[in-house]
Amino acid sequence: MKYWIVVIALGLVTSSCLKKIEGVDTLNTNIFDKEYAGDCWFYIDDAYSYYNDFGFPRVMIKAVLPEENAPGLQSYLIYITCRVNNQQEVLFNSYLNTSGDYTFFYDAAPETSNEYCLEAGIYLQDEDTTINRFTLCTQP
Amino acid sequence: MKHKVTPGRFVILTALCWCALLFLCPANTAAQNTGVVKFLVDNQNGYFEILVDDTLLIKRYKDTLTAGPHKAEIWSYGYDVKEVEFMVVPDTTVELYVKLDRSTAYMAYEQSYHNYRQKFHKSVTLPVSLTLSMGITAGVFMLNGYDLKRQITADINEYALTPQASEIALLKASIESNNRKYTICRYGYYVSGGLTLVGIATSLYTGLKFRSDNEEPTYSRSSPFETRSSFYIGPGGFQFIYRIG
Repeated sequence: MKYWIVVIALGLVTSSCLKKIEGVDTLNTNIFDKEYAGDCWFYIDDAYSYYNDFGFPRVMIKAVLPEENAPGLQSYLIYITCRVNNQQEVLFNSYLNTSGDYTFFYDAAPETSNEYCLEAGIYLQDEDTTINRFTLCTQP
Repeated sequence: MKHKVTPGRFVILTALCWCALLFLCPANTAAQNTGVVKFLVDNQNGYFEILVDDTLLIKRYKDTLTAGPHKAEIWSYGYDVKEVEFMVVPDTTVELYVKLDRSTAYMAYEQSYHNYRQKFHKSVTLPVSLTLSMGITAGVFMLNGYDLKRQITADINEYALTPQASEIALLKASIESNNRKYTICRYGYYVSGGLTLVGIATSLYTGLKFRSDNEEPTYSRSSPFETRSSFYIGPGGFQFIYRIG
């Protein structure tokens, strides 16, 4: 009887080895991956109107790339291209802030619709291209 | 039947040994009345015992005997006892070729042992060998699989931390390639591991069944002359065996 118990135990041990590796089929979570398939990797933290030093009205859009969307990239300088509505696209380089997130801004001209849609993408220096563009809209 | 040797018996036995030594030693024998006989025993195991004139048991091929007619019974395990008669001529060496015949009982034993071993190989050796080879195969698949798994896991971790698109592409290609190999190792491991388990179960079943259904044949090697006294002088010393009772 004890022999069969050993055989069954061996069977259980054997079947528990070499499981399928988790994460192989979902290698699309890195925002630097051209095949990124996750959700929008940033959120708009704030949007407000203000007057600049020359007395012109402006709208500041503050967006954040949260730490959880870029795990392990702390202290890395990342480049983000931003554009609000159809205004000029700018390249913003963002450093890690104290909360572990990356914050970036877009200084937009006021729109009559008062709706500001921020389109941001990850800029790849080596290839001089922007990938993983997402758009979020807000009102100041 | 064996007796405990008391001091008195020991003295008697020692005296008997010396007597036998003096009696049988060629240097103390009247040379003109003796001759040498050489037994050329033809058997396969090289061992034999010779009972000369139903009194003297020797286990060597050559001995000095008194001149005249003699009778010898020659035995080796696995062979029938063979009786020969020969004449010892003074100061001459007589060569006596004796071919022993296999005993029927030994041949039956050999046949039954052969059958036993065949069954043993069929019931134990074959399933155990196959199980072992399957186990080794499973082990090889498992080791390769673990190596690949470690590599893939490291690459996945690196993927999450890599800010370079080109490096990410390389990592993904490496992960995909290694994962393909890993899948082969997994299936190989499960198939060979499963066959190993089946093999273990089969080996256990056939082995236990073989043990319960079969008994290893045995053959007695006891000599028909074991109750006789024997005397032997060799390069390392001499031996005198005298059985009491």
